[in-house]
Amino acid sequence: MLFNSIDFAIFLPLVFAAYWLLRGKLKSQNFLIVFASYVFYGWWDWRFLSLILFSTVVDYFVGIRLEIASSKRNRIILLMLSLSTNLGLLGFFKYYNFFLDNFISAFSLFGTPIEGSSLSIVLPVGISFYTFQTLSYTIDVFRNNLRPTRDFISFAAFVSFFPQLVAGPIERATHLLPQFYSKRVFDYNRAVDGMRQILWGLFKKVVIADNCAYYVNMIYNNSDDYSGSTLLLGTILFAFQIYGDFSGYSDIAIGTARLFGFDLMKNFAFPYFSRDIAEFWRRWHISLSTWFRDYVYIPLGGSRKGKYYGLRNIIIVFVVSGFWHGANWTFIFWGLINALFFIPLFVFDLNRKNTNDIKPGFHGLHSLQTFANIVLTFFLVNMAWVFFRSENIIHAFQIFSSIFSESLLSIPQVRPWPLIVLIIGFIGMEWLGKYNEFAIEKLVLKWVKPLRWSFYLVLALMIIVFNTEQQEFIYFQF
Amino acid sequence: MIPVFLKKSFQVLSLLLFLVITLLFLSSYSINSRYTSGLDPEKNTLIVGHSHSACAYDNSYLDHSYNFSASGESYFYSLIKTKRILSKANNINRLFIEFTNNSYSEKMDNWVYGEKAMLKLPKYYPFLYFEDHIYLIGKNPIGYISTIPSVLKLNVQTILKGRVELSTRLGGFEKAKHSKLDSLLAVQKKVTIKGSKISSENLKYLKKIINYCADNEVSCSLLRSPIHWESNMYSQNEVFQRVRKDNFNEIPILDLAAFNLPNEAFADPGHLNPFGAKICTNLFLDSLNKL
Repeated sequence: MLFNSIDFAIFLPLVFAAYWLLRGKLKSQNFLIVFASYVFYGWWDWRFLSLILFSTVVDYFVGIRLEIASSKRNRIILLMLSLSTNLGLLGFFKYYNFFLDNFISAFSLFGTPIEGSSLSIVLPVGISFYTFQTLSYTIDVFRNNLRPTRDFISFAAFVSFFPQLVAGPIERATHLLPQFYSKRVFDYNRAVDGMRQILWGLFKKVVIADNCAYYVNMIYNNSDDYSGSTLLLGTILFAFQIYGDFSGYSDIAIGTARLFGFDLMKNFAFPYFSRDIAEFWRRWHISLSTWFRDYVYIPLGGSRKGKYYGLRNIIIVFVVSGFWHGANWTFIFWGLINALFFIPLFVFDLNRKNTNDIKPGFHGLHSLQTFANIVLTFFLVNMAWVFFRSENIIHAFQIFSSIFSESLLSIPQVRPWPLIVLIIGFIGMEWLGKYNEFAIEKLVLKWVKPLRWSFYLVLALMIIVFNTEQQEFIYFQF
Repeated sequence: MIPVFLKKSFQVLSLLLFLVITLLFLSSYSINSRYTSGLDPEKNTLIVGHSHSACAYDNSYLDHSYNFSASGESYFYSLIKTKRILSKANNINRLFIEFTNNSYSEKMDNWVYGEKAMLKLPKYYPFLYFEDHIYLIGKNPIGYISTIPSVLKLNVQTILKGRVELSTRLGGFEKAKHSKLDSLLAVQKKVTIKGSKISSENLKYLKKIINYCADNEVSCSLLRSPIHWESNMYSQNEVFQRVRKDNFNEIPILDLAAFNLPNEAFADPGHLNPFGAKICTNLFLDSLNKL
């Protein structure tokens, strides 16, 4: 079920009404969440439900067994059981064909052609997200950071919680699971905030991302016909498409969860205003970045064992993170190029230089330098997006060779002025609201009521007018 | 606090709904009040129908006629555009309606109110009559509501553009440039058509078009454009003739399907390519002269 669909517009009020009618009955509310989440997920394909149920059952029992297992050896076996089950499912559904094709190519390259047939596998929506979420539970129980739950319904609700099930934020069991144990009280202000965040998320998705998608697809699908300047414009539009799409989804997810009395973690913190790549990665897809930090980078040793191991670990994390996004070399290269941008900062100990917020107001040369750093970082991020959006590696390099050619100085063949004006307005809103959880959280609260309501209604009208072709969220495929 | 939240949400949604309906109404009214037929005054004959006729009659060869067909169009939409264009183009005194071997099929009812039909709705929306809205809402409420954003978007774009000409907005000659005759005939040979069910809704609107023409003193004829003689559709000829006799026996038909055009004239078994359209247009003009 898509957030920007009529189905969801009917589904959400029904579940909301039923949920708060059951207030005070914690178990019933949790059961309703599981039921609603399974309906939400099964809307795509009911067969996928068996996977999520299987994953839930395995991790629930592994958690309990981990608590009572006495020897370290048994605990490791249980952890391996959970890892192999979850990563095995992920590997089969997402990466089987990729590995098979690459093995065949590799053997052919060395003169020993082998045969193998690809399977026609349908990738279950959001499998990478809920797999990582359940893994965090088992790993935290294994590390004794969390007591395993014996409440199966709460655990199933944690794994399948519909607002964030298919595209995150990837929640930690330590943060979300305890919320299912405690009584939820309806908080008017939190619910209104949630509605506002849903509105802003829908605006980002439907008005910004989907309109950018039209031009991005046109330019990238016919890249041979376009000049370097047009391809650069297409890449910049893709930057706004993927940001609007994914952060929009996160906003809708967080806002929806608030309606039900839950707090989800922040997933985006205005990443395009970052002053270096390290800051960008602290602000982009925060739930995934911190997941890799806590469960891959730090267990590998982080930077504790010196620069060499630190470098190795950074490259591993970025490459694995790229591969998490999809079974294609383009994603691996995307991770690698981000690692290359990050490494100089790490080597010269500059990766934590910009941990503070940008100071409000204009501060002369300092502000100009900040602006230049933001533009440079945005440019680097865009160069990496070329890999992310391209069909394959050759396509990506063709686009680079076109961008860095004489035609970069020509007037773009595609000039979507209304969209550019819209994006400039959007950037302005984001800049003004950059100290908040989401851009319009407090931005218009000081306005007089008629103006404030007009603003919300204009946003809502734009969402309706632009919601002509419901496009899936990009991150569903991951 | 839940009742307050629900009350406020209801207020916001009501206001939004009111705004959407107002915008929908005003923009549709604005388009409806400014449209023109877009036809030259010397045109006195119209052709309406779906893709078969849309691809068969090239307007560049038609002096006094105009091919106003559109692919995927059911008689529901043909009726709306016939009514609208006749109200603006007083010279039109003859109407040809494409009626061919798939027009009577029950599947065509889906072209009236199904998902495919809803894709056509935005272009026609400002020209719908009250009873048409009621009909579509009754048949496919979800589809109708889902289409409203597209209607609003197109209405706003149309108003910004300024001119509204029905002749180009709702129909016209379509060039079928693909070449799939052999491949599709090969596929069709493997498929046996089991008895076809007869449409209720689509044929109901064909009768309404005929009645409307009669009421407005416009001569009305059926028209069957060429289809390939080896196609599955052509094999349904007996059913076609029976449906025609049972329902439209009084209405004359210009049957161009009887002319066996060469394979080079077809883009696929049901559609002519531009070369075929040239031949067919001449056949049509010859037949008109003989009438």
